[in-house]
Amino acid sequence: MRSINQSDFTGGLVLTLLGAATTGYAWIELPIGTVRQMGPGFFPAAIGLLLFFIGVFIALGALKSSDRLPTFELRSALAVIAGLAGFALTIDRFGLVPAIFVLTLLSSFASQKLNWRVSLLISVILCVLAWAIFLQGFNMPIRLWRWPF
Amino acid sequence: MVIPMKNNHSYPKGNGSLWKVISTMAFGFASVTSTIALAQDSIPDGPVSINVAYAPGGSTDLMARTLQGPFSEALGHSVVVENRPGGSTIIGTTHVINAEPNGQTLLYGTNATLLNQILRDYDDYDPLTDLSHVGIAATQSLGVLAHPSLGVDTIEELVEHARANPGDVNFASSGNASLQHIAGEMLNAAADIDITHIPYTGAGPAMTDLVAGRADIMITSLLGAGDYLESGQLKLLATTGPERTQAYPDVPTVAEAGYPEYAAVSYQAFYAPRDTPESIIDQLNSALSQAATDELVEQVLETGLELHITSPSEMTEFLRNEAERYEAIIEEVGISL
Amino acid sequence: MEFFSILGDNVALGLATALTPEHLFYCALGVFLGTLAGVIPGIGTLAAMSLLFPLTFYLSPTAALVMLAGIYYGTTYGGSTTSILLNLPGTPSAAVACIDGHPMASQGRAGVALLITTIASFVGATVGILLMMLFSPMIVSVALQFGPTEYFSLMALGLIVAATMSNESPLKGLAMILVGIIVGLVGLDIYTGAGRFTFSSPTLYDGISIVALAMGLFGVSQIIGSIRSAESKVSNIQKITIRSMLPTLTECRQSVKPLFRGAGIGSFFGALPGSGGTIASFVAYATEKKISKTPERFGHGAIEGLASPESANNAADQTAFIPTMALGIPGTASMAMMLGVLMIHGISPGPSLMSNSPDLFWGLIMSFWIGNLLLLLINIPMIGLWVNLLRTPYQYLYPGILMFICLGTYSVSNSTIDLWLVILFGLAGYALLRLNFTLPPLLLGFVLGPLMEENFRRAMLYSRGDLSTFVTHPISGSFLGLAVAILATSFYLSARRKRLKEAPAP
Repeated sequence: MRSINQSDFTGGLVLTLLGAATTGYAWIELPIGTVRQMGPGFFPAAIGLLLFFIGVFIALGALKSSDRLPTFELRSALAVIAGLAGFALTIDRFGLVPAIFVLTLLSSFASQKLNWRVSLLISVILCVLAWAIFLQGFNMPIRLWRWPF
Repeated sequence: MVIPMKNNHSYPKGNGSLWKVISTMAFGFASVTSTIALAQDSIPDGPVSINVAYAPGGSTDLMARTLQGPFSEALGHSVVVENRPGGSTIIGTTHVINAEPNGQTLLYGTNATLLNQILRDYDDYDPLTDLSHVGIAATQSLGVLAHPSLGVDTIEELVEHARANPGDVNFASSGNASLQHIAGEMLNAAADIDITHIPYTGAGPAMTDLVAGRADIMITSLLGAGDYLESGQLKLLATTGPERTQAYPDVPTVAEAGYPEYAAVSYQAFYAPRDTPESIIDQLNSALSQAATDELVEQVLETGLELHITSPSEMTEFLRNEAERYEAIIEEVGISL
Repeated sequence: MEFFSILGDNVALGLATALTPEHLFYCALGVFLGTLAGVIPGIGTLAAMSLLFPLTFYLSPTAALVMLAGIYYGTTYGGSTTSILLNLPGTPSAAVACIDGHPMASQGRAGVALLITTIASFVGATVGILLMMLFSPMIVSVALQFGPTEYFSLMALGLIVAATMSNESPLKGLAMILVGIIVGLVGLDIYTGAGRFTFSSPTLYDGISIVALAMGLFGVSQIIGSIRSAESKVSNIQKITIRSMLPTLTECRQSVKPLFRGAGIGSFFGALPGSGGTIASFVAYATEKKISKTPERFGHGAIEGLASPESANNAADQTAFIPTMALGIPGTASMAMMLGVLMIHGISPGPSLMSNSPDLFWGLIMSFWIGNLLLLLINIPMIGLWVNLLRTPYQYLYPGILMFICLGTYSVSNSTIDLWLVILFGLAGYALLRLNFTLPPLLLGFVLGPLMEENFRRAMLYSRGDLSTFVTHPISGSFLGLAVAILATSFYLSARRKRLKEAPAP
């Protein structure tokens, strides 16, 4: 097998799919209209088609050079996403303080240098910071905490 | 009867010291369990939130913030304005519909609150029945503005011109399904003409194209148009309210021009969740009326809005009329969101 | 001569108005709060202005405007700070500051980057203000020439310019723009109200929030990529001394011309109502790269790539007042709010504002200048503090950055929907980064794509379906011609580079 630029190939392929999906969606779901009275589907269909071809070009171009697929930091990604999701799930139900603790504790799994004691300390500092800036400074209507039960 | 409050939350105090907050945080749970509401028929202790279904900075948001201070003083509760934009006002409206009917969560709605449900076949809620009506706060008539190059001075001349040149006249609006759009389509329907709608995103850009002469007609707030009318760069054909406006008493209404049913008024009104006790509605309404002092009314008038708090029943009556009017026009011309 | 003596009188009147203790105080307050709001991602200009709006009832109209205007341009300045330090842009124009600003910070030159931003914002604003004083009426008449046809072509030009600004192939840049446009199309179609990519969910009716997109794409993706690499390398941020904050002589020489070029570009685009500032900063960046003898330095901490767009977007901020003040028609929501303040105080905005309330008009203009001077004075001492923030080991810093992302995003709409979008865009951004795609063009596509469609369709309505309208309108025609020329050159250059690279290997 000849070597190819795996990043570009993957990227091109994803773009091709996205373009095709966009055009497909616009074509099926939306009226296309005429040039004078363009329908809501006209522009997305055209953009999707353009993206489709550019994706194909990028993928074809990748056949000429070689490069390996980059490594992804899965652990960092998972921890950060878990932290953000935890925040999103907590803030409305339990309020700001629990949400910040959840965010910090979960996202600290990404780092090898953070232990739980430091993370707790960071959480406390961030709570005070958030309170001072968002609640006092900008007067945002966010609850510090609540007990939903 | 003593019932525990469902939403126990501690809002930060406006001017509390750092220590106070740290101690609040430490003893939060204690205070949570001790916070109780006394009775159902008065607003429980705690802040009242005015929900605005738009992002900060729009005219509705600014009007809510204008009322915020005086309203808070009259009501004896702290009042916060919460922006819940999205879903062309559906998100904010739904939030209020699902809130406790205790007077602490209010919606500051606009024409869109009603229009949404009619235009979109969005039947998850009906603002006429799924919300309690506290009172209309502010209203504003629009003006039918024309660029002089169109060569018309009155509604009659516009109608004549549009009939003679079908498809040639256009009108700009602040957006699809906005009141400006509806007002134009109502004119189309009433006078049996066909002027082409060109939507913009906001009144500003539309107005620029009207002044530059690209658009022919625009039905919009007369605010800021004064200079253009004076210098003759724009013409005011008519106003859209049921009566002539205070600012332009010499200009006839569209209704006077031979379309007696025609009326397009922009309004902002307070809603509360369904089944809010009447005593609470009254409490809110009288606080609002108290807040609308002559001085404030005069200040607000400068922005083109007439601040006048109606009674809850007047609001219901008004909304019913509006809904009928919109339904008729939408059925006739088939606008959809 | 008479012209200058009138101008002199006006400047004197303006200074007399702006330099009263009351106005100075509110100017400083506005500038300070604006900087703070800008530094914190998510809290945009509008939110900050809206929060202070009730206060304006108790102020004189001039004081109120001076304060709100201070917030307005203060936010622009503050936004760059976070872009440079943490790669967290809250606005598209701040995203441009990320491209070379953040690499500079990573190389330990954060002090220089922040200082040059401060100077650029002052230079840009000063040029913008001067143009505003001298040429307002002329600029307005040009702005009125811009209809939907011209806007469409202008945006097409802006997008092409952005596509060709990455170091990678123009094809990849173009692809990112298209992806941005697709994301921007989510929501209700403004002409028919049809839902596009909304999947019948009202939460998507108004489209995707730019804050969620920018926070995810730039902020979250950057954090994911940095945690491990930051831990493995020793912090290379040196001790902050006055010395390390000062740019080298070469850097000074490199920045002077870009500062003024940027100011010129920014002033022009800023005067066009709408998204002038965004296009301005992208065009300024691309211009510097095009005319640079060493374009390969761009994206790796080239000081010109920071100086020029920063100068451009601050100049644009100032000239954006021209159509608003002179026509009395607000181009953006922030401008609408400022006009709202005028109206509450019984001053009707419009072409006669300048002659009816000269003290207000000239006082405001002079306060812009004083405000920008204050920005300089307040922020230079702050630079040391900001840079020290970067000396914090990354593992202590990133939970805080995440918190600001969360709260900044949440506070925009008081709902968690945007947070889920942040996660989505964070993952997508991280993948794209790893696959060697450049992200800023995506953000520009997101902003300009929908506007381009809007203006295209509007132009078609006005011209009754006649496509030649884009070529027969002279302004529009020249923009499109320029766009085609730029695209052609960049494909040619990219092809030649590739050939040169491949030539030695048979």
